[in-house]
Amino acid sequence: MVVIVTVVILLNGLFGSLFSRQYALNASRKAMRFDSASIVNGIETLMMRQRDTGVLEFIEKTTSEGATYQDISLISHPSGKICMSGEADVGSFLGMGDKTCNRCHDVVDSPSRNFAAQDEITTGRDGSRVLRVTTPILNKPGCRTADCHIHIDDGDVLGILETDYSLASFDALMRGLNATLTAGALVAIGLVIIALVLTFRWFLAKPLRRLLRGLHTIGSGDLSFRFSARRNDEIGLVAHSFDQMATRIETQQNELLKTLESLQGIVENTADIVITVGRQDLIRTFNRGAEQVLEYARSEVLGRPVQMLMADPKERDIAVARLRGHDNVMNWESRFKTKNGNIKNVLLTLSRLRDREGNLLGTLAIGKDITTEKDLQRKLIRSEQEAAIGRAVTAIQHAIKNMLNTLKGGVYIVRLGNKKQPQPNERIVEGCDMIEEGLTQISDLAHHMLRYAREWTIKPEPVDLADMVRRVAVAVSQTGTDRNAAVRTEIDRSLSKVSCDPRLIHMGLMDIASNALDACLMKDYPNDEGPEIVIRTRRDESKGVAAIEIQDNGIGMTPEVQASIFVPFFSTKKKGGTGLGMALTARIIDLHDGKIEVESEPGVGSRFCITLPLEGPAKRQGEG
Amino acid sequence: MAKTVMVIDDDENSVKFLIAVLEENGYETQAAYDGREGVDKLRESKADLLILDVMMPKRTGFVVFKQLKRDESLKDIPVLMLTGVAASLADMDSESDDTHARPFDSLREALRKTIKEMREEGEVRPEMFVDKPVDPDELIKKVKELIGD
Repeated sequence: MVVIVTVVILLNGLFGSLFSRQYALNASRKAMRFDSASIVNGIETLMMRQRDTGVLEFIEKTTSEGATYQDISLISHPSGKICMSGEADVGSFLGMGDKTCNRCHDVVDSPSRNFAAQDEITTGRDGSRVLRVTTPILNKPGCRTADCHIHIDDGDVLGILETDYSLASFDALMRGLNATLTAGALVAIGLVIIALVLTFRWFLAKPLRRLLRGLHTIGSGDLSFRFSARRNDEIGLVAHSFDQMATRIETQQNELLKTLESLQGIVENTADIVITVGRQDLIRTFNRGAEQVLEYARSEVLGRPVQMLMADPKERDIAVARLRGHDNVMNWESRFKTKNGNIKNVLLTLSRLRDREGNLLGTLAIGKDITTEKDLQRKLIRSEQEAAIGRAVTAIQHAIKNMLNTLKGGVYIVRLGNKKQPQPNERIVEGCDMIEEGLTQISDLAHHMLRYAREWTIKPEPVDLADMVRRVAVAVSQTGTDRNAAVRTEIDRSLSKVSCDPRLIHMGLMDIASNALDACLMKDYPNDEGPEIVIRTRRDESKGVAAIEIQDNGIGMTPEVQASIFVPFFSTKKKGGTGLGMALTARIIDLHDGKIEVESEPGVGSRFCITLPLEGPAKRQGEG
Repeated sequence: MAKTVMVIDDDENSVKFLIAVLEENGYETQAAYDGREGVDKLRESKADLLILDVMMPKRTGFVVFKQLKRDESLKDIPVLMLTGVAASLADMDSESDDTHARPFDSLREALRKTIKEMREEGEVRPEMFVDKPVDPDELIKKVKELIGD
């Protein structure tokens, strides 16, 4: 474009210069021909008057008037030049006898009547450029009548006037004009270039820079950028295409984000555990379900080894072995450990994560917390086992009691038969006594043993321990009335109801109190002392327990006996003890998360202390 | 005239034992070995007291007991019930009726529930029960309380 504009300006200058030059030259020619014709007229007038010298003076005068004329020559045939400016007479005018030009020359090719004025640019006498105008001097009617030219026809050429007009001024003018035109062209070209540069900057560079900035903005992630150009040119089209592209990218990115958010939402909001680990077994994903079940915040586990979640870290190796060759493990029961150390049973589905080329990326674990289900399953199994044991226990109890009943009946009949003899046999009576004693022991043993086998769950409810202690005291005092045993209670009124299984606690207290009474009955008291049993309740706020103490002043126990009293089948009683009563009591207290302690001194007495948590049993309930 | 006591128990040895005890204490006795036989005999010759075993195979003592109570001619005969679990039923008030909470020993639970219901209806009293193995002195004491010598 710039080149075209420049060429146009240059051509305009060039042709303008040429046309101007030609126009000026043509105008000069016309003027000089006219001037030359005027000179010829002047010469002709002088000739008519036959004043040859006047002609010379006229020429001299004319040439001396300025620099316009460089040279003027008057030439006639045949002598050639007859007059030249600045020179003396070099010839003579035609005489009457002289032949005219067309007398010698062929009429046809002689420059006769058709000879017109002509001009040419040539080199002048001093070597400078001149316009040489050649003007014919014709034989005019006036001349024909003259003596000198009467013999020739009108219009014959008598001679020529050759006038050299100097072109120095003209050339100087043209040079000035050329210089002006060139300078104008250069200025114009400069202005065109400046205009083009400014146009380029305004219409092209600026939008391009904006386009680049927009690309950079979008490249840096801000897809909201738009040009919103109103132009209809190429830049406008580019900007419009750019906006469309940005809109498409933004739409696609929004759709991608929506899809991603949707997928993340599914993973995040499912109640199942979703965990992914990388190739190095480090945790990468840990959803809300996992947080809730495993009690860890996401920030506490991300980037850490997955083994920290496993109850048994060896299970990681088992999982890897199972995944080998399959890439999927369905419904694998594993165990996780929560932040607080609780064990959770989890049903896992493991899947290897691979990229398109099949390279291993990590492992996905989707798990369901089945701890409750497993607990229920365990409870159901235990419940069924217990029901079966319960049925068996009742059946055995029934069978044993029937057998004992038969034996007892047999002994009764033997005794009866013996009694009706005229002389009853003492040995038979003694044998029957032994058999009945054995039957009582078997009966007690069966009773305790079956209870020991059966009592392994508790059913707590709020229990007024003071009331229970009073009932135990009444029952024991009734049993011990024949030995005047004094049974007292000391009740702590601040002790409200305590959560425990009333049937089992009552049984345990009765057992300890009965033992206390037995210990008293085995002792020979001095006169100032009698058997005494004290049952106390006490609230120990600092330990959060309710305490029940049963103290007697019986025979007491040695340290060895104290160490063994809770062992099953250990008994110090010479008759009747099964060795299961205290073991069963200890079991009952343990089921309540309580403690049983004993202090004793041989010959002085014993003190049993049972403590039960005020808030009731917690850990053992429901466990087998 | 001696009072007559009828014993209904599927265990022959148990029947022998009870009859020996009763006869030794001056009572006349009748024996039956299942509920149907016992009821039939009662209709033929009235007894002053009935000793009824609870755990019998064909018809339990409770079923027989309810049958007697529905019979106008027999409903006034006093009854002593023989059980192998009477002692362990003493604490039944402390237990709930929810057998699911204590699923083991369903037989004992069923027995306990039946006794509780019957007691609430005024048909049975705790002192009606005699535990096995039978203590002869305790049995005679209860018999005397009900029908005298």
